Amino acid sequence: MIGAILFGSFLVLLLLGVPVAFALGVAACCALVAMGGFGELSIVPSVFTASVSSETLLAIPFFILAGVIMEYAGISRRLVDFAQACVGRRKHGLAIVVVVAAFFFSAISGSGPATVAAIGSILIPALIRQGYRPRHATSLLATAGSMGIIVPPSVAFIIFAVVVSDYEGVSIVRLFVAGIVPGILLAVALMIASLFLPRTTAEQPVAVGGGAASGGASESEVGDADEDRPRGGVTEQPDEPHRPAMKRLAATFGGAIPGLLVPLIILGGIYGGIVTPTESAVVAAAYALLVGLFVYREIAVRQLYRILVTAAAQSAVVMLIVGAASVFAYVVTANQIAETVSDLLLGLTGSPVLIVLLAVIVLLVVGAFIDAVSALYLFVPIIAPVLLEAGVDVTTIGVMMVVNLALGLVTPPVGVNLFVAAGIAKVPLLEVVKGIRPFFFAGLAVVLLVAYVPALSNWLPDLLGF
Amino acid sequence: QPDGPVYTWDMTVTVGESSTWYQAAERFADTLERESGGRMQLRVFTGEQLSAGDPAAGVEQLMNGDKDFSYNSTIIYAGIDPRFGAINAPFLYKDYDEADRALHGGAVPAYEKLTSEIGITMLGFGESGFRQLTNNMRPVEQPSDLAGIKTRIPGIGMFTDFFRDLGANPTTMNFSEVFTALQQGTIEGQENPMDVISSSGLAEVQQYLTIWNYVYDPLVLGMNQELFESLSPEDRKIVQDAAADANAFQIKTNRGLEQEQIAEQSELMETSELSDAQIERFRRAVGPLYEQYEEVWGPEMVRAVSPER
Amino acid sequence: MQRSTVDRVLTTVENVLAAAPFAVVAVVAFVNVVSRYFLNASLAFTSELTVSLAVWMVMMGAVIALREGGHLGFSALHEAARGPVRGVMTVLITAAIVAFFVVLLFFGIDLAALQAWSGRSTPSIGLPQWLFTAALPVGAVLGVYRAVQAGRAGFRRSTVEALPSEEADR
Ligand code: NA
Ligand code: NA
Repeated sequence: MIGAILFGSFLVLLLLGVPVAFALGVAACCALVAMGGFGELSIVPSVFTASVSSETLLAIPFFILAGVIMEYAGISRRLVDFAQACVGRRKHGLAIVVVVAAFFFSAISGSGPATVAAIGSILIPALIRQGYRPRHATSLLATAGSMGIIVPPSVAFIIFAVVVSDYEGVSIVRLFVAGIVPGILLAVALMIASLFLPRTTAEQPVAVGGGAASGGASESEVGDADEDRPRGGVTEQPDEPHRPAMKRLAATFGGAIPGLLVPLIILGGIYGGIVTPTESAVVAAAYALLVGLFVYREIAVRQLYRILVTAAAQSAVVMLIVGAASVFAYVVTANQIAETVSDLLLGLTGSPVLIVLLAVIVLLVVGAFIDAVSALYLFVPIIAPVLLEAGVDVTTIGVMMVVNLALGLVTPPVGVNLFVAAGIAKVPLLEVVKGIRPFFFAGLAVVLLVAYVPALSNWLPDLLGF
Repeated sequence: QPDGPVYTWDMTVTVGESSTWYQAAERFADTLERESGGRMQLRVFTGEQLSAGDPAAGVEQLMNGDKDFSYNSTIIYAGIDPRFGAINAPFLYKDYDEADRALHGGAVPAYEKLTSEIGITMLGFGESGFRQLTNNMRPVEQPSDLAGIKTRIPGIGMFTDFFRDLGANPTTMNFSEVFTALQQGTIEGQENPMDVISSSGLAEVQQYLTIWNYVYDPLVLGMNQELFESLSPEDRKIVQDAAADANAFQIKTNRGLEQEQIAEQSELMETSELSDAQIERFRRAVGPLYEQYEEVWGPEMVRAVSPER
Repeated sequence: MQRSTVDRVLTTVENVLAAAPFAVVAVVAFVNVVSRYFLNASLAFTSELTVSLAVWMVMMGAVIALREGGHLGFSALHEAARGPVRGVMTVLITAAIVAFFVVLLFFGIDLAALQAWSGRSTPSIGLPQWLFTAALPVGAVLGVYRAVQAGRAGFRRSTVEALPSEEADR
């Protein structure tokens, strides 16, 4: 009964258009009142505060801050320049370069949309120029960007580790390492899918995108002066047929070196035992700030305020979901709803193969409508115990759920990567949705592989001893 | 008496289902149900699940009646009122005999008074046991051995000051990251009761174990005070008796287990069981700290927890 | 769009109350890493300060995101609706957001009062806990203001237009 009120009101509020965080919070409040009157609501602030004041989850604002600073510092732009130089005027294999570039960006940011925003504005037009249909170019970028939450660092893995700890502990570092092989698999699957895309041979002149790529920064009201914004997403680099490609490659490589070092700092710092995952994000932010202030000199001290406000707002969007979802999860726990649903699922079938398939389907549907953070809070308590019972290890469960929900970033009706890619490519959303099919199936293949082959997740962390 | 008010209560414990805390809570639930003829139902939640994993928020929920019962360490209560930390003073008791005598001597009533001031009825003590030290640098047998060791501690002022005074490099960290951090070398040591050291498999990533009984860590079995006072005298008795039984069971199980765990872990780590003389050197080294904290704990609490030597 | 003085002042208040804790948290966390390695002395109090200040950052950041249409949601039906149906939906969405803030406001004051009364302070530095819990009611009041403001504008920014704060879906 309480479960019906909880999930029912959530669904109604969500469909109405209430932002996910508030839909979660209000649904939880409705259920609390049904449980024991308005007095029950007194747990809301204590659970909300306790959940957002978590040392582990502080990694989220720090990784977001690092991303915003890299944007302002010009690190992201120089990496894109370098990627573009790699692409050059290559006739073949551009799609492959795009996927590699997305993989690299995924290794410096924990976010899908940030990856799409960073590289989409230059690479989508480049793909279209090489004869790919706009719908395919845009949806390839959107899907490649979902590697952002699979390849470490990943906010999704941090959330999974926190939520699943009620059932079985797993370290964030192990999950991070476990995401590497599936990330590579997704990259390969996307490359394969892109080989089958139809292409026209004629080159289409397309203007290279401008400011739309500035991704992270909020466009309004954060600060006052325009010059406080990071410079437009992409340096205008018209192709000069006479300029030796190697020379440009060398020139852009030099500029990109500080950016290329970021994954080393984050992952090397964590795996080398110098810092915790949370601290690695702080160190990355400090490093980017130093580069922006003293190496590239693109950040002025007065911009720090705007950077902080932007990062705080972006972090809060995630953390508000964390807080509200925790109140929601309180209702689920206090009424032992997850156990009921889990028992129900286990009663349906004892076959691990079918249970895993069921989990994949549920997460595909859930991922279509809500973001990865909410989905993890809502469904880890239901799915993880069932899969553990079925004999699946916790690392595989984590990777499977995250890859599954990463696919949700590009499934309509709510797919943030799709929105971002469509926005910067100026391609109608419906058109992009039409192009998503080959990449969706490539991603689905990876989800199934990861779900049914535990070695894909466990091999690397076991090898490295995490 | 099968007729009478029917209750469904919630209780939380900080740690997981394999712990003696949880076993005792379950036993408490069974006794309540049996003795009340099924009128008292108790649901037990592990891992502070009702307060998003945060034990201090959990105690607050107990204070204002959002929750009915909990097992929480006095270390957590000390975050709400520092006087609760008196019994966690470093090297206060050298063994369980001493601790027991102090508890029966005057500590229990003193803590009952403290909890009642914040809206909680204390139904006796369980225990997490003595806290021990593990590290990767060297055997720790005298104060100077701690020098520079990056040690993970609970985020409480007294622990910070203690380790800093001894020359270690104390740091706080979420426990879920401790194993990996020890393995990676992000931290080099940690301290916890034997049960945590054993059940987290820390021996895989730690070389040295020091049995030094440096902090006695009791658990308050707390009940929301308003709820307790709303019960009939008969029901109060049922609750109190069941609590006493659960606490006795918990302490007995914990102590039995601890001996096994020390024996077992000594095989896996190079273990130093400190002699009375060695402990005395540590006690002297933190003497000034003790005096500084006497003010925080207050003379009344210091007297109440002091061992009868 | 003409913005009132009140609005501009509130914007500044929101921005400062989000940025200042964030700055403190980031600096303190960084200094802690550096001091653990180079000075061989961790600032053990850092985690309680960073973790406690996070509440201010989250509440004020959430208000800013509301102001700028940055919160994530399923807006397809709302966008497709026309006329009075859309109007009713807009009112209901606003009401839901306001409702959650009202709960945080009233019960947040309750919790802060309990903490002030019991004297709960952060375990290492001993700062009063209610200073951090106060972020809930303060944020909630500002949140109600921004929610009503967004509601009157009809939540015109759709999800697509609200790209800027799109880090959410990670
Ligand atoms: Na990533
Ligand atoms: Na989706």
